[in-house]
Amino acid sequence: MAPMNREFLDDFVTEAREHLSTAEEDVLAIERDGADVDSETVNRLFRAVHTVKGGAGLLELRSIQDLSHSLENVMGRIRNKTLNPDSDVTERLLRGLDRLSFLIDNVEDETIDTSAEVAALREILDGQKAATGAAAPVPEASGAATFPAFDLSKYDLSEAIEQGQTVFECLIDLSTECAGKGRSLREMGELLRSIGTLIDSSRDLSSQAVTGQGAAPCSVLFTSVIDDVDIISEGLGVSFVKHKAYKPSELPKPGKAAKARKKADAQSRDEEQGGRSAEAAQVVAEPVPPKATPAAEPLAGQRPSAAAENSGAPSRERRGAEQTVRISLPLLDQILNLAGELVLVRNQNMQAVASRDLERISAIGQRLNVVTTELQTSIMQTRMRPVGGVFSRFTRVVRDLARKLGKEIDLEIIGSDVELDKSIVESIADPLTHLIRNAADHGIESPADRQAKGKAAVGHVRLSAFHESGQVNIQITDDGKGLDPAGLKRAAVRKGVLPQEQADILTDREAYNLIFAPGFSTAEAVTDVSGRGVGMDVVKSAFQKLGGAVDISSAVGKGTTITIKLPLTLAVLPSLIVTVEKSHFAIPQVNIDEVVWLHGHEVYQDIQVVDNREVYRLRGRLFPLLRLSEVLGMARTFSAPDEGVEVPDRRRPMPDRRQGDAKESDDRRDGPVERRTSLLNSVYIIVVKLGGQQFGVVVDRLVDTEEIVVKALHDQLKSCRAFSGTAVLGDGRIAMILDIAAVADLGGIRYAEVDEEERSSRRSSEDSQTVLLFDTGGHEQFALPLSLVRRVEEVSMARIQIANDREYLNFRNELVPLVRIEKAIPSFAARYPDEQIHVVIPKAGRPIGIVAARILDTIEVSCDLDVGTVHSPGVVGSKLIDGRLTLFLDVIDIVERVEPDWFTSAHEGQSTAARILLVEDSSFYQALVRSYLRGIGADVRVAGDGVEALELLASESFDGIVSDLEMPRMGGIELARRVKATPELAHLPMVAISSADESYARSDAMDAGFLAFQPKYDPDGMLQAVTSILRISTTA
Amino acid sequence: MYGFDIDVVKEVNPNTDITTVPRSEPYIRGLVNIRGQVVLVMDIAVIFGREPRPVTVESQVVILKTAEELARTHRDDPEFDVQPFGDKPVCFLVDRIGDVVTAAASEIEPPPSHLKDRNVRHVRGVVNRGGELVVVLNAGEILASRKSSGNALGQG
Repeated sequence: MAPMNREFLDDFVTEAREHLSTAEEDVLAIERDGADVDSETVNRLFRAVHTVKGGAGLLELRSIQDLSHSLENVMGRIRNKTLNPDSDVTERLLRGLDRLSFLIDNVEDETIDTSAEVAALREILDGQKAATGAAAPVPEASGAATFPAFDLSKYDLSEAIEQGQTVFECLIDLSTECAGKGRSLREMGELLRSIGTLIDSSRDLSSQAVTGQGAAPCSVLFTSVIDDVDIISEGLGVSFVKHKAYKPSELPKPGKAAKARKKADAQSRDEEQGGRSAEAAQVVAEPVPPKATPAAEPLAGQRPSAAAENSGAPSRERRGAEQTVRISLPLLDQILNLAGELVLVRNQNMQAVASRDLERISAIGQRLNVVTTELQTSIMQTRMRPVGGVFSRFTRVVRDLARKLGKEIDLEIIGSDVELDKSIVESIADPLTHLIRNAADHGIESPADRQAKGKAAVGHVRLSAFHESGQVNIQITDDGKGLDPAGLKRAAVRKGVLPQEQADILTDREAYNLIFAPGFSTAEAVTDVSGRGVGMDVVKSAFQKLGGAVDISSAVGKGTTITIKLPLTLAVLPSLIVTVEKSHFAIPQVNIDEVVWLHGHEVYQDIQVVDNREVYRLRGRLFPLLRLSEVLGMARTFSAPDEGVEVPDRRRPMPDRRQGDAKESDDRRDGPVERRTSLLNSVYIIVVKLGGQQFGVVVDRLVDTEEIVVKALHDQLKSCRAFSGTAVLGDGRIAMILDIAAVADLGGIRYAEVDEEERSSRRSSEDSQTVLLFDTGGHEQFALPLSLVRRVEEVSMARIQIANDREYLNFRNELVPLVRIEKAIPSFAARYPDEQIHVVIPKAGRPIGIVAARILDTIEVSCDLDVGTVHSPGVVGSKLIDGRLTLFLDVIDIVERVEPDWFTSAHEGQSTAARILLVEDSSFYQALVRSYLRGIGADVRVAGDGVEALELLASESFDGIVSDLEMPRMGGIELARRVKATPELAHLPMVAISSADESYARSDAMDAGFLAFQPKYDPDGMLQAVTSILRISTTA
Repeated sequence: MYGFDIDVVKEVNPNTDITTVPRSEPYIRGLVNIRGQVVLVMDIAVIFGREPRPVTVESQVVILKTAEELARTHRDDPEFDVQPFGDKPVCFLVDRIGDVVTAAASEIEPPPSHLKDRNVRHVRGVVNRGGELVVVLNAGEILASRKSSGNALGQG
């Protein structure tokens, strides 16, 4: 390679990438719109390639120049509408552009071959020539032997070179160009002089003669500021049989002084032979009518100064645009302003310090805080890049893939302008490509399959980016065949990803996430199941490395959505600083769900050991714990109470010593208090999430939350594996930043295990209810779902009136009878305060009040009630809430014990109460829904699952069915199908209640024959639905 | 008594407030904060197969130049391999700092033969200073040997 100026080369690469970044999209637009394509698109494309060619020419990057020239030729034809851009043409253009980008990425590698691409492009033009036959066939032999005919070393070309002009040698067929167009040789010469400087010609171009048929072709040598022979040809209305544009390297070298200075008046001239004849691009131009030459355009890419040659040795390292960042001027100005402000603050600070004015110093401190934050934000901004840069490439990926697979796929891109840190944008390209390819390859069906399923033949893939709660979400949605949970489970069991028992209890959503499990991704899984899975664990971990998370949702036959959540930036990390022993660690906030403080006896009570692993139960969720000190292998010390010195702690962590009876630990809350149960021995559990998984990290102490500046890890520390970086804290200490994924790995938390915890936690969060906690002054604590409570009144005893041995509350001028729980169920004790009591008025028919001594709390609890332990009338089940035994009341039962006819008399208008079959497996919901239904006067029978329901339906008659969807043995969907299939039952109106994801479950339920679908958390909606369908059934 | 080529030393700092790094190699003492820079502290004694040195009031850290800094100062010396010095600052924990002495290249004698094989490449030579022998260490070699072992462990 010729020596070149390093700086120019870098500039060229950066600029070329920028120009080519839109080229691909433009070609795709051309392909889409065909001949009707917007001319601006073609022009932009043409300019982009042209500029690259110009730069490459100046820097003597021969292959780039050749290839871009070929591309330009084809684009030129498209631009002047002489070439119809069919898919074959665009395919070749795309290939050529790919190669061009590759050349630019490896700009210093001269060995890359481009002949295939150049030939492919040339074929287009040749083919067109043959097809149109517009141009006269060129006698190959004529003059070919003598082309190029001129020995450049004989000419003084220095001026042209200095001015960055291009030297052309062209062969003109005089029979067509002169005789055929009625021009004399002289006119031909003048034409050529009009566009540049005519240096020499093989024929005398001053004669007036019009040369006719059979005349020998004439070679001309001329220079021009226009570097594109097609434009010259077009502009002059002269077709060249052959032409050659000499590259700067082929020209005689001007002297060294001129090189260095790029002055026009070069002194010495080198007589060195420069003309190494490379193959000239042979192009036959169209006979296009002459028109004004857009001379300015070809100049756009030219910088004569760049022709100056420097003799810097080419370096081996790859140069690339990724080393530089372009910053918008307003942003730079803003940063400069802030820097100026910072200097101002410093000056003020120095004055204030000198005068020891504490008040001013603290004011300046605040100012410093503001300026620093702003400066930091602005500088971060310089690293932000729109995701569009990555997104745009997928149009091509999807197009190529669709073409290869014989599918029709439409890729919709939304939110290209959403910005992410440069490093993140660069790192998401590969995993995203994987996901997009998967969506196109395995998600979208073939057009025939799609039509058979009643879908549009064209598949749709949507790639969108949007902001949500301080993070960027990227979503890939396809409308393909979706994932089949059952198939996924089967495959997972077969692959040994998880045992059958676990697979059986997975929800659909958990089943989808199986595709991210390591070991699941095999080619076999792809053919068996619905297709996805190759390397998906790698994709997931790639996003996790960036601090992101991946989730997936799907519906069979409808499509799949993959959601990726990513942090905006990696450089500054909001973190929680914790200590273990004397060491500080930073845990990124994005990983943290919540923090739990356990102290005193709670440490023993709430941490249990299951299967040799410590677990913690938090609001019904159970998740594994990792003691950071153990994971990191740190020696434990404790403060000896007497001496106050740190000594090695030889004891094992407390719960280890009672592994045997760990299962009963719930009942051990009054267990023996040991010496270590002081505040000093409190622990903090940092509940962290990793993707969809959750576990607890036990640390000694919390320090603070801090926005830490991440410093990369020393190479020698990478083998520790537990850390992702270091940070200097505000007090000058160094904290290691924990890599939560690595900590989980070191702590031996396996996928299935975390999934198990996750599953139970998710189930509870889905099936959870807010309950009102109250007591009657006795030992028991009672709970009532808040959705059943109409009102809670604090009343003084004075407002309570007694008549006929019954208590009534004067409530809004209405007498509301009061029920005391201990009267209904004598086994409960009660001791009410003398002055004030509370009255809970449930939503159940006519108002009635339940007397409470104290209202304790409202709390969200999971609905997995213990129905076996406490057997008592009026009680649905029990549950430990905050360590206290809590009884869930059956309001209807309690009221009826005191007022037996309360509910039936409430609906006297109705001749017979509607009989409703409630199908529900959870005893809690049984009680809850039954209460609702009794409240509207319905007579309710309960079945635990579909099988039981069918038995009841066979023996009794009902007016309607309210059913849960997910139940053991037989679920609601199957039940509905069977009911609809049984002639004598088919008329029964059915309402589905479910906590499943509404978007998918609703349509399934409706398909199966339910008249209405109600989420479980919406009792009012459910009651409305039930009332309306009962009305339908009575009128029908 | 040990010596380093002063060209590779960036500074000597009395800050030995070392943050230990759990799970790190034994020869790594931890990290120190030198004016906001996080510097890795290595213990040469451990590298030489001896017990770790205790940190005393006299202890100091000898901070080495990074590859980039050395590339600037050693531009004229193509033989000098800057790569082992890495892109992040590293320092050695030393018991105390003696003096800066000048030794002509001819004064540096080859390392004595009784040095253990594995340590011999860490030593550039020996200089006699007033009857006392100063072992001149080859910082680049020490770092290079650590780097390779560190990487090997990282892959395991």
